[in-house]
Amino acid sequence: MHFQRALEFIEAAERCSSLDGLQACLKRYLEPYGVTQFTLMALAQNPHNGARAPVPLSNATASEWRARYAERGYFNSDVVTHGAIRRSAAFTWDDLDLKQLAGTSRTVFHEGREIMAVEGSLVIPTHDANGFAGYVSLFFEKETPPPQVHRSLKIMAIYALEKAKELYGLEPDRAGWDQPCPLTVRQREALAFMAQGKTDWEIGVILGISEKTANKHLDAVRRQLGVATRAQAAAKAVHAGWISI
Amino acid sequence: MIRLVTPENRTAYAHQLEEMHRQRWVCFVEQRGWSALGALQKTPGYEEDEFDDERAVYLLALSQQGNVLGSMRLRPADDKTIVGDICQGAIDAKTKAGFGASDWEITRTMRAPAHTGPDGQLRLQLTTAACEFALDRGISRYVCCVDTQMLPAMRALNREHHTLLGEPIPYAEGEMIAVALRPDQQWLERTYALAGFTGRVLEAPPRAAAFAAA
Repeated sequence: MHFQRALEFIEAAERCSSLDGLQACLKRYLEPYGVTQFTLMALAQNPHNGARAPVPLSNATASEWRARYAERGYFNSDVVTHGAIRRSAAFTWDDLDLKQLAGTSRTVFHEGREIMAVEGSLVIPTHDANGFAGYVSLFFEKETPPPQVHRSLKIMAIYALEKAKELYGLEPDRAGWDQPCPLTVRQREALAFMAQGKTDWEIGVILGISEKTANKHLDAVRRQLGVATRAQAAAKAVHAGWISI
Repeated sequence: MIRLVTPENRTAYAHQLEEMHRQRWVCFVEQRGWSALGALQKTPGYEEDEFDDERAVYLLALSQQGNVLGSMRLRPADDKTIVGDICQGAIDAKTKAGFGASDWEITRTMRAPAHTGPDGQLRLQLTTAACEFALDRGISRYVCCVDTQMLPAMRALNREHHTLLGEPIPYAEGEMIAVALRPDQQWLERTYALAGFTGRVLEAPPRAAAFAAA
């Protein structure tokens, strides 16, 4: 039943000709699950310098929160964003390590929860061949639906986000068909964080893998790119547009 | 030109098939971490499974020296499939029962681990060759499991030609999903245009009589 609903949503979404129309369509298909608010956030690549930046494509949340989030630039401090980068599977607020929150991250989380006045949440990360591509956040007036529903919601999230990108005018992902890259997604992610100055241990924490695995990924990157050092690997990847820093 | 390896000409490509199986071990078991797959192998360093049988067909991209640059396995889906029989929960029983004589499965699509150059053209070659094979053979549908990360690209390139067959399921690298692809002339022409191919990329099919035994 849930999967069939997801397929029906995909067909309906593809027929939408505006972001408002897509938002209304998504609202209609999510309401039976108790969703009262949602956001679609894409990570879009600047075609001139390759840098990726967040673009809110649709935000059906309380207007006060929408305004505050944008004005204060909360995206980079949002623990939900950090969680979405590290995970491929959907997660709830309960899955986040909220006890470790401090400073702005703590403020963002608690302000959002209070203003939106919701009880449950589900964050659905989306990844494409370039790595983390954005996420869809669903907020429930009551509790979050059980895990068996999450899978169909993930399908809806992926197609909603891609349709939203199209309507917004962002380039679709072509998985390297015309931007060939010899690295896997995980290798690119590890390389990008390394290029930002992160240690193997920090990369492991961010990606949810061990320090040893992070080291293994970076060694594989050097071999794949045929270079002697990590710095050369980063330079080659940035120049080719495979990562941005 | 992509080479077509069928049961009839397999001996002519024995060396390349051996190389392909060793590459599959490095690619899937070592690089991509499919440890469960590795544990099933009789010979470490050589990856093969029950679907590498007399019904399997392989598409091989070869270098000028005859080394394998990339490969893809195709196999009829009317008896058993990875998507239906190995990937638990990827599709339901009704979908599995619906696989017929004109359905084939795509699996083990791979770029040679030692190949450090661009692979976009390689993947386009293999995909295009698979489409040409489908049109040669009368295949109406391909089924496969792809990482959910591929769905945005699949939508961008194959919007009218792909259908989801089930919900995402977890696997070694994250989550994957069963997809059906419908190869046709329109899809073929689109990939020719995207890749800049001016003609056929798959070598001509073997004689119909020899091929019918596959």
